[in-house]
Amino acid sequence: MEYFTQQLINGVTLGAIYALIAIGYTMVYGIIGMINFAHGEVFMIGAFISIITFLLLGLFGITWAPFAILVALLATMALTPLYGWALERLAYRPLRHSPRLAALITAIGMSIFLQNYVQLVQGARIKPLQSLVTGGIEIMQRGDFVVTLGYMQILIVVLTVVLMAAFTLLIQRTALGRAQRACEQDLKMAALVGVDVDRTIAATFVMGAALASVAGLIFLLYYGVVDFFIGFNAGIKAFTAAVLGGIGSLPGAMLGGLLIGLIEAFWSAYFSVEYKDVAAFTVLVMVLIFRPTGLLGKPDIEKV
Amino acid sequence: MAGARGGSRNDPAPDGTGALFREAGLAGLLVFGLAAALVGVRVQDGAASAIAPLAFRFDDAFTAAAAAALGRLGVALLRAGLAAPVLAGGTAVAFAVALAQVFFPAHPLLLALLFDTAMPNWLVALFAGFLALAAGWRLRHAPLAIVSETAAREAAMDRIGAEVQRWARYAGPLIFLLALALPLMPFADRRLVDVAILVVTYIMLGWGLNVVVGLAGLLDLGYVAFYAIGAYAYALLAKYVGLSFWLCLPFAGIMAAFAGLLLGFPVLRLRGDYLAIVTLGFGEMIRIILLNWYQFTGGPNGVSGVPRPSFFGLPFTESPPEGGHSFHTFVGLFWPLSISPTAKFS
Repeated sequence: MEYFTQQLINGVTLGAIYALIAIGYTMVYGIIGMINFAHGEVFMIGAFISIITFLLLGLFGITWAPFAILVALLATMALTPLYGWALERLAYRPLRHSPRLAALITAIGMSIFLQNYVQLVQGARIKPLQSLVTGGIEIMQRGDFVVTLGYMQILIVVLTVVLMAAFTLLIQRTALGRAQRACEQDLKMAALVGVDVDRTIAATFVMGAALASVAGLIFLLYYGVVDFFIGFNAGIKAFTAAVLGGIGSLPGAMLGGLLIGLIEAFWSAYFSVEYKDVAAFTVLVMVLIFRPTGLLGKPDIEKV
Repeated sequence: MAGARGGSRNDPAPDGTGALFREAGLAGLLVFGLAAALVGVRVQDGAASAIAPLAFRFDDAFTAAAAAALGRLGVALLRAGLAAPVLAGGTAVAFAVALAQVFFPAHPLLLALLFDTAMPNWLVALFAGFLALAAGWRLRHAPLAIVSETAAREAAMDRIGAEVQRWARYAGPLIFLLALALPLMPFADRRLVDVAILVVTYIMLGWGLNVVVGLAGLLDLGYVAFYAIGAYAYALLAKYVGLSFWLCLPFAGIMAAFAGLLLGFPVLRLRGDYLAIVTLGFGEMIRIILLNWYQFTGGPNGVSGVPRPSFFGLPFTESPPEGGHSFHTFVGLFWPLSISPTAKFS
């Protein structure tokens, strides 16, 4: 029971990261029907901008955790979306009316490009960061085994929940959110009734990138390391989460992220750490084969 | 579709110099925003991080922004029909950057003005040269209407494609003969032959991918998994079962084919993006399993000491075994040692 609780806590924390990235995938897929493979790399760039901000603050002697995290959050949420925007503008918009494969392959190409770009400018080695938030609350205990709810984990979950609430409000209440929902239903019709489709799609990429950058910050704080290759694994896991929840559905992305996080945590705890990725991918394959619309997806999803 | 493609270029045509410079300025600003953190600041690692955790290269970020602004200005001018200044400016920039890179690569002023590494500088010079060429082409030929630019480009690409296909018919057999003769050429050293073998391997991979993606139209992103299965099938069968290369050759193919069958039955219900994702996941799974199943595959260390192919017991080695023959001595395929191209292989 104690072990189970600890894994539950770990899984929810991991799931929060996946859910934040998955939203970017699901929104882009919902609107232009494209898998943005470079989204994981945007997450990685968010993590890098965060570590740079932390180290810069450290040079000025600012190590008070709440302030440092706030500044890093603002910096990464300001700079990373530029990558999302540039990606859409330079790589995807010219191909919007091309065959689907062209866009997909371009996205893979951009993913490789961004990976190599970061490897080139920041080096290939793993970059460590001293942990800023340590300690936690001891919930229960049996013998030597103490179930700890780290302050970091609380911070992660609170941050994720706040962001998702804000994001849901944005989608449901603002004019931009209305435009996005219109574009998701029918791009051409939305354009006919006066929605600026290009701007809406660009805004979608910017919002997705902002959420992914927060996920990058969280990843950096939680694991304390970052390198140029973290985007691939996190991206494909988050995509799995989006598919599991039903791609195109926002609550689905959150649920899927949570489920993938839990599956990974429990698989590593009870079976084997090495094959946790295999477990996640098996779930992906199973979902796609038996229920391609995912858990919360719309049943009329295009199954071409 | 064609109309939509033309409409996707929806930038308002810049009507004045103000608009031109604003477009260029925005591009520069965007690139500065992109580069400020990642290019401008480098997280140090290893021994360097003990001295200073960060290294600063803000001059490179500024260079990137300036290059982007200039390049965008050139493109915008070209689109506005002002080819002459682009020709002059592009030529000047291309030559200036290239000459500076060749003659004063370490001059402090140039290090401040240009990128610190050579490659991006060459890219800048290349792009400036390309713009100048495009401008020159525009000046010589009748100015095209802006609407038909895409169509003209596609027509040109189609022409080039047709030309390439026409030449490929004659070039194909010629390249095949060249490939056969390559190991016997006097300039063929070990490195060249290795690269040539890599080329042939990729050609074979491309053939296989063409069957799946090209002919069947299924985007299989996990295709390399079969490459891995074939390689491991040969390595493990040859090393632990002791089968010869010629037996393993069909076996490895059959095994990879069975893996394909295993994957194919469930995923063929899917189409398009879903198929791409499932195959991507499958490829990843194979990679993870091969890396982690340590007892079976050797994990990240791989399988070493795989027996090399032989021809009815005759090894393909340069020096024949003691008292025996190797393939080339047996069939008399050897040269006097002085001009032997294979002497370079050792």
